Amino acid sequence: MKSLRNDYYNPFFSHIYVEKAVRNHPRTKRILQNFPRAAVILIDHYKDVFCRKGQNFILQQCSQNLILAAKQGTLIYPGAPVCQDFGNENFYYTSCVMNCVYDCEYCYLKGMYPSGNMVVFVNLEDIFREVKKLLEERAVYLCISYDTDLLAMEPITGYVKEWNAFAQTQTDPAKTLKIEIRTKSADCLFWQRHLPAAGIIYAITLSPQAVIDACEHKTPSLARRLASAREALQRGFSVRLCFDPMIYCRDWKQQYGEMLRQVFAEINMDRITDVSVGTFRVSQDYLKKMRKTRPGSAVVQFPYQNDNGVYHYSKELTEQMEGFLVELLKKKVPEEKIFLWQ
Amino acid sequence: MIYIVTAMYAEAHPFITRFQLKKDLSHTHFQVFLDGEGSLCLIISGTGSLPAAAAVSSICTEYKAGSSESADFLLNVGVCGQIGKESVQDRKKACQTGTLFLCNKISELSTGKTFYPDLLYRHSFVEAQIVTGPRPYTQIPSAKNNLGEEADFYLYDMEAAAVYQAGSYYLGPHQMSFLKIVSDNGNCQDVTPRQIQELVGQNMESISQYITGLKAILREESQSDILQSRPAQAAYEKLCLALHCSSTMAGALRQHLRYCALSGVDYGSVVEEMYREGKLPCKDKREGKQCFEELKKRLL
Repeated sequence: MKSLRNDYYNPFFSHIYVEKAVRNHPRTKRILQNFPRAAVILIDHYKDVFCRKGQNFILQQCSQNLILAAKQGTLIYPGAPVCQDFGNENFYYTSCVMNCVYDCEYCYLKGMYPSGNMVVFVNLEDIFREVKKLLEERAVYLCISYDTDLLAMEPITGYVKEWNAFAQTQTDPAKTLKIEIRTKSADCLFWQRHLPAAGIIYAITLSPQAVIDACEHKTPSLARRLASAREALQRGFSVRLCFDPMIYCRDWKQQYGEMLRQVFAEINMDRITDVSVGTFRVSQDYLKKMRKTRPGSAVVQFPYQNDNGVYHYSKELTEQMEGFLVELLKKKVPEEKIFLWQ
Repeated sequence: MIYIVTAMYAEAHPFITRFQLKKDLSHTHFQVFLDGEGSLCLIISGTGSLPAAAAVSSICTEYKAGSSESADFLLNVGVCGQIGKESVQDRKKACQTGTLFLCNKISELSTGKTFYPDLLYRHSFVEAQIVTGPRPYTQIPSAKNNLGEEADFYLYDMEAAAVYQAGSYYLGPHQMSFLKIVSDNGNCQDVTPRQIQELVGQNMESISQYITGLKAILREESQSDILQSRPAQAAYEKLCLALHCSSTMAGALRQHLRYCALSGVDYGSVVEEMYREGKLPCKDKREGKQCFEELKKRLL
């Protein structure tokens, strides 16, 4: 039987909520130009829409709406302990966009946010100012695409281009700015239209095609991600390959082995900046919510172990999965370039 | 279940006729009508915020809205006034009497609060903002001045904000819609019940289509626990007994079985094999714990 779902839902960004305070902001106007047919609804504060009680994240993702707002209060946060710092001191992250156009079943955003709608903060200039302040004191390692996929949103926001331009203005060699942009996007046009900026690392997340098919809905295929990574490397961009999160399935060895075979065939591993490896882990509060909202998802319903509030695979399985991948990677990548999350 | 809330009988009548609703005589405080399938329930609240909130609360409590596995939806339908920026004379000309709107923003005049129902589903209606006030629009001509200047056009009623607020105790913003038909632009005292009935009746075709669509998608969205089926539940309970599960262990077992069912692992065969091998049933808790460890290894 044909599913009713796609026929019944409004198209993406059919409704755009705009904070009154930013309705005349140049970025608001630029973003709205992409959606001439959208209904624009003025709001006082983004939380009036984003933080309503009783929202259904999963259904909202079927008909995602956009909220344009100004980010206030804390703009830069210290990096979370479950995130890889790649040996960098002064690890921070910022969220200029909240939520993602992709729908990965295991994504912690589904446990973290009350809404499946997306928030784009248009006052990037305030975030840049905060970063500059931090840079006056120390070098900064800043992840800007944790709570979204910034590169996937690039045709709408143009934010990666703006971060690129900002990074190029930070030239103090003693207090360097290193930015990580994590993505599953495979938009080769971006590499073709822009020039690499020193200090910006594009962290491309790779998964076996079986995992992509089962859990990473709306994301590009492994082949497309690899083609994109190859193009980025060829054009001189810094590329990090992220095998994180690794997702268990019964034939995980075969799936991850096959994936690496494809990676090695497509990518010149000598040119990559580094790789990260990590099995799935998530805070207990997030998983509790994810299990409630996604009762039919195998990856969410896996019987994980809970240690100090973090759910993860058993120690034995974690070591097996990560060890397997690391051993294969070592054949092509120097050990010092392989980062395990723990 | 789809709950339809109207303020007046005249607004309800076209629904009662269209869906052949029967009055539920067990209700004494509000008039309640049900269809034969148990999929539609209509309640007539009376006009104003307080009656609307009381009616929503009454019906949602009675039928356990939002707590069952089947999806629920609350639909507020009724007539409304129209507030435009035009002069009084122009407004008479511009009044879109009979036009049906889907509300995308609900403001409460008395508190200044604003509510945003989700608009997930495709529809054929024009969208508009609505303001809910405590009195008919004619009696508060200053209302327009309190609304700010963000839109040229508003709807005005006396229930929507209350229906949303009362409904949100039971349902999420994705489970409520507000359909309003313009009956006047400030001269509501001239609108008769017969006219109201006709205005709603004229729009019944498109409202019916919306309800039919909602019914279909609610059926599709109903999610149930994969282990809720009677055989799966019976097998789980039998295994719990065989393993002498504590409540923590029972929870862990359930999570394992749920994962196996979702990922296509035939846990039934694994369990049967352990019975054949004499490892199940276990004689006590200690043995049960050991056996559970082995079962986990075999399953994953």
